Amino acid sequence: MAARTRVLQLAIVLVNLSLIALAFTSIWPFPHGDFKVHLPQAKDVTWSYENGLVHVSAPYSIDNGGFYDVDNLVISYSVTNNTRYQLAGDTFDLGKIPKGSIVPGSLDFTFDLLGFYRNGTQWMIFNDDILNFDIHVSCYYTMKLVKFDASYSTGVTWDALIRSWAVIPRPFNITSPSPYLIDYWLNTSDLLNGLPPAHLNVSFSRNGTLLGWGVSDIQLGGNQKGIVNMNILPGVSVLPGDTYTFAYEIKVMEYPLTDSWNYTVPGG
Amino acid sequence: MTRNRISDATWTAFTESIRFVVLPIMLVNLVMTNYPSLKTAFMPNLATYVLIIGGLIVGASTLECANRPGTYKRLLFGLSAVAFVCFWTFVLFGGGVAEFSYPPYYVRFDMSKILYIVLIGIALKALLVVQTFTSNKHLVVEEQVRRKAEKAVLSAPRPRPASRAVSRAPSFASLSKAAFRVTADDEVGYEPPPPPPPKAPVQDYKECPVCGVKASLWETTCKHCGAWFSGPFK
Repeated sequence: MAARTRVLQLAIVLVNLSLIALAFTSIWPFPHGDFKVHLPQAKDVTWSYENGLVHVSAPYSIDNGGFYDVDNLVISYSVTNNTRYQLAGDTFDLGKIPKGSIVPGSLDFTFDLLGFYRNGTQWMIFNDDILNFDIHVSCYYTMKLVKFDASYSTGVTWDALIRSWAVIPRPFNITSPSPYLIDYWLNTSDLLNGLPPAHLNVSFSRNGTLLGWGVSDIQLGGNQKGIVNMNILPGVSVLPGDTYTFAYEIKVMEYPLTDSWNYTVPGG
Repeated sequence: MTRNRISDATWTAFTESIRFVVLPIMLVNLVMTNYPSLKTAFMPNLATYVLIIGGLIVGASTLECANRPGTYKRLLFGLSAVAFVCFWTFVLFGGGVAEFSYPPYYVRFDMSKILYIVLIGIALKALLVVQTFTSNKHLVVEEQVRRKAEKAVLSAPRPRPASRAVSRAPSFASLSKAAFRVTADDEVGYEPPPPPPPKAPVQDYKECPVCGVKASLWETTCKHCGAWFSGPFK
């Protein structure tokens, strides 16, 4: 009887020691840093703009330095702006990560800014915003006995593509055929550096009759200032009491900026 | 044996209090102080739960040790202690789910499966309790039988004295049991009386004084010569 009890005691001790070892090796890599998930930081996110599409790339890496393989690694993300309008979102399964390996990767996604613009969502084109990245990582560890979930939220500043602009006519003194000078400036996001320039068209008319116009190209990126010459048609004379219309259009890529104003010549 | 069990029970109460109440509460306070972002299911009142369930473990273990192996009480308290330890472990580890929240990060560990396996490992001690019970049960039964027999002997009616003479027989029970030296008889001048003379063998016949023929003691005349015998006739 005593021998049987000893054997049972020994068996229980061995089983419990095995379980303690299992629990320890399952938990230890997480606080010790052997298992690390490097989620993308705001400074790591890179942007580019092309043909109305904004390309975003956010690098990440997963370091499995633990004792067991990582199974069913799934990463999902959602990108919304400050008004919780979803710009992008996806889920992808990375599968299995063997122990001792590092898996680098990148969350690459694109959102159609031009499409938003055409659908009436123009805020992000003309205003700064904050893009909220919600990233969720889930996986199994220790032969699927441990489930690990990590969520991460970060806000990345979004600079408006077109921050401000102005077309300012000088004091009204039109004498044909001398040109009429108009000042302008355009402040756009550095994201647009290197893209084809914007086109500025100004016009001068009376009762729908074109009396003069001017054209200029404006480089994109940063604050650009300049003067456009508006050529007045020969023989045009400004009469007191008449109302004249100035109009302009700045076409920044696919986004036209237009305005007009009337001016009535005093007197008459 | 009883003194051993009491000392065992006292020692068990002490060690189990350290293992399941004092040290865990200290560790819980340490963890809650240093890791305020750690949340488990029972974290808000964890120290209280550890105290209550740990107290139950201490009580059950103490009572287990206070009873002899092989008794049902020891089995009951042993199994209860194992159940309490399982429950205590489950509560202490928050059901195996731990959450860390340190914005912008949120991490959740679900180790409930490992915890259940560990609970199974802890529950294996129940086998040891049962084994101890089964291997010692026969001793308890034998002792019960022996005690019953002793009790039966003690409670049986005493035999009454057969006669008054027997009851008046000298009893040494009331005499002193102190040892003393007995003086020899010859030391006080006693001489034993001379031995009695040997008795003549008893004859179961008589001879006729006339003819000498043997005749029975009860005969009054000789059958051979007809002479009269003198008495007594038996």
